[in-house]
Amino acid sequence: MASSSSSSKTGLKKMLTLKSSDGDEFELEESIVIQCQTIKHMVEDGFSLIPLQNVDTKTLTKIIEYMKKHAEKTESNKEEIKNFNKEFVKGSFDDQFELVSAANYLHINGLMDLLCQSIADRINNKSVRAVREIFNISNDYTPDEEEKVRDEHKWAHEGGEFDESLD
Amino acid sequence: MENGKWLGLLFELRNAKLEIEKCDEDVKWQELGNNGGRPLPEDLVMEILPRLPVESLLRFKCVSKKWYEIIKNSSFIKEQLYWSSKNTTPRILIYDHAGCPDDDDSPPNPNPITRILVSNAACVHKNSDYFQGFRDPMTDDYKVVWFRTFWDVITHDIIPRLFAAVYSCSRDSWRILQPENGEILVDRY
Repeated sequence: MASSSSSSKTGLKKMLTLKSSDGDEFELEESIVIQCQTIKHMVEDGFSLIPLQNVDTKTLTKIIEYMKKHAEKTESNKEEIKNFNKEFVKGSFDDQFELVSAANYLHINGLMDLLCQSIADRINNKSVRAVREIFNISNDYTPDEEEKVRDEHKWAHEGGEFDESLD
Repeated sequence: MENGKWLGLLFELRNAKLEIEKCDEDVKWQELGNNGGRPLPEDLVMEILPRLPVESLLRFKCVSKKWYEIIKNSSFIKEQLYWSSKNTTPRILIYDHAGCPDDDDSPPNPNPITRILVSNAACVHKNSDYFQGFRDPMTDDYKVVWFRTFWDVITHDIIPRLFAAVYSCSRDSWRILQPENGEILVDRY
């Protein structure tokens, strides 16, 4: 919105349309969308309507929220962006996984970084069982095998309680 | 509509090309998990896990056989080292020998550990009797790793192996490191 301080080559703001997998269209300034590497390449190739078949409306709305905020980034609002990021990663694991898939698909490096680090921080102190649930992984060890793997690094399983919660 | 479809295809192609450029030849695992829900694709798991500290990763080897494979893979370890060096600022705690265990000779309670924790201790000299302090990002604990060599009284020679122990400030205790391959490796990076 208020990113008029940087001088653009042309006076007119170039607009782009992103289309979600649900068919919803979002019109955005090119300068905002350029954070997304994949779209940037398409813009360079002259496209102005970008269909995103792997990103649904809900996820795309969040992604656009992120890109808009980060397009406003200056030296003076670092704190504001930091707080925004903090709020942004607060959703459920399922939502975060949706977002990380989209960020990866769209090649938005900053967002990838933010999400991956936040997911890593959130599972860091989780129990093995909780991690399986969160990532939807079935345990393919027999009890004996699992015991053996635990014994390889017994100390890593000690040292306090691990978080069993799934959020 | 026709045009939209074509654009979509082109977009997919572009993405596929970027994927290939990004793809490490070592990363060739299949998708994780096979139960009802949608597990996160392997390439995304590979983006998240290296950002975890070593202790959590060693614990998460128990999650599944696939995760075990991922975590012990050498290119994964390199990736993890990259992130841990980026995320943590090693701080030096002690440089003298005060507070070391009196009994150096035999490890009373060996604890298996892989070499990655040792490498985590930032740059270390390969000399004997060397201390390095660092902050463990997992527990936010100060730790000191102590490297030692020993003299063999029978052969009258230095035992050609490096020994190491880690001191934890919060537990006020020492742990002897016993790497799987029987050798302490010190990485500089």
